[in-house]
Amino acid sequence: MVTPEEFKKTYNPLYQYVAFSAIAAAFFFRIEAQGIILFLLLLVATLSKNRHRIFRGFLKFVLPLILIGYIINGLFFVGSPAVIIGHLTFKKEGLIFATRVGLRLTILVISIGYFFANVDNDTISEYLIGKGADRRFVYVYILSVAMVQLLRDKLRRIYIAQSARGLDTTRNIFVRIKYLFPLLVPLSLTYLAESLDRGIALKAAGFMADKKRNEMASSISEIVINNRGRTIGIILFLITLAIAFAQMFV
Amino acid sequence: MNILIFEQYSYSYAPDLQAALKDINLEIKKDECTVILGPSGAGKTTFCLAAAGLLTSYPASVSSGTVKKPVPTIRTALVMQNFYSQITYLRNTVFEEVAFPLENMGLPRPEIFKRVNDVLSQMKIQHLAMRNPLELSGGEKQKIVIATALAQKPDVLILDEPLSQLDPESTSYLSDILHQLKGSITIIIAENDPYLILKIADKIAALSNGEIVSYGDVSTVFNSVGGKLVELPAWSICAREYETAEDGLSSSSPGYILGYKAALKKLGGQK
Repeated sequence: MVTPEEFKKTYNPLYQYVAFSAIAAAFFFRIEAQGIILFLLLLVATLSKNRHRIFRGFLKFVLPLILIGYIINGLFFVGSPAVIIGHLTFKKEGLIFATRVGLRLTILVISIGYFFANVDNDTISEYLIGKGADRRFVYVYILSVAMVQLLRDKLRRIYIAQSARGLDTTRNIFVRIKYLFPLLVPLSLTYLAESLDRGIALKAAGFMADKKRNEMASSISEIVINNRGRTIGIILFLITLAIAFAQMFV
Repeated sequence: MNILIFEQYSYSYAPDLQAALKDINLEIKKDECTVILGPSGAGKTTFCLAAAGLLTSYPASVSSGTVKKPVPTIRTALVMQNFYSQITYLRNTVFEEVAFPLENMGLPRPEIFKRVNDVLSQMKIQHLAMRNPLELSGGEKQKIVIATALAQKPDVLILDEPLSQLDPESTSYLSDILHQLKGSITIIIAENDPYLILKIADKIAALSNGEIVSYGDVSTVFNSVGGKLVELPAWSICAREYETAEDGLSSSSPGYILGYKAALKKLGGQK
């Protein structure tokens, strides 16, 4: 027997404000200060309980991108030589530019990852609906996030099926990507085609009912807001904005 | 008392496509179980969507005639053939997934908890209550979708090929559930499984190319279009099973007799 107690969810707005502050700093702070912001953000992210999720995503997808940025900008930027490796000459200006972009990208990705790793989608959707957001908007948002997981799930099944048909899963990652790449387009198209069925299913479940869902107090989840986290978060965000504003005049 | 009336209803998904339903005239009575029978492409899914009042979602569709509910407050619940799409993924647990339409209905929280707990125990899936729907097997997902429909306590329960992903044990179990529900709720079920049909059907509507070619009680429909049934895989298997039985009819007997008798034999002569 499931009781209402099991659906009490705590939402801590501190996560949201830490992410907002870091993003604001990435855009408005000077490059010298962004190193400190990144250090602080990494510290906070390392101390959070879901740190492996944040860093796994970063290492897999963003770090290679940053390294490619260094190589391309370093090699092709016009400027004075800084590092010479064999026949390759990396330009100083290019490396500085790549550092700027890389820093910003790292802060953005880790701050967003920090938020999503610590607040689950279900809680976000309940929180948004509770705040009066349009439920259609919330649904589209959640489905966009869920799409990644659903596609990954489908891709895994296809991968297993391909392995059963002789795909060599022991070969290196590039070979495996080469095998799976042609499947991505039909996979995405299938997902889009399914969206019509999904719309019908939602209608069948009364999602588009006349009464507005967020006007009713019938949600089985109860969101408890952490007020202390919210206060600390707002102060942090205001300090960030104040520093950004002050930098304009110094 | 009629609960759903199809009057000269025709429907096409696009103007240049062949009609998926043609001139459907049908009166579905309260608490009756109507089985929609027919091969792939006959229009079973379209019929189910029309009965649920959900065909308006297709933008380029063309329709004529009406599907009337004599009482506007009649509530329908649909279990779609593609049940993967019917899981919303808006929720982290099966319990919340089943509660989703009840939240949309605006029911009070205690009522939602009672209904969901009841339906999960009725479907014998309480153990899945706190699991993530994404982690479940196909059969389990289908049970969740059926539980979600039942939790709404609909006046008309519409099921589009509900046995398609279930194992034999779950099939038998769902047949029992539907058998229990029979008489207390109107059921429309698009299904070709002979055993389920013989177990629960009050009326059969045989569809072919979007048209109802026969409608009536089980024996009426079997006598009129039974010969074509054997073309359906489920029935031909059923017929083959009977042919090989010691007391079977000769293999030259008409297919519908073989199928019908084999199904009867398997059910122990329930009908």
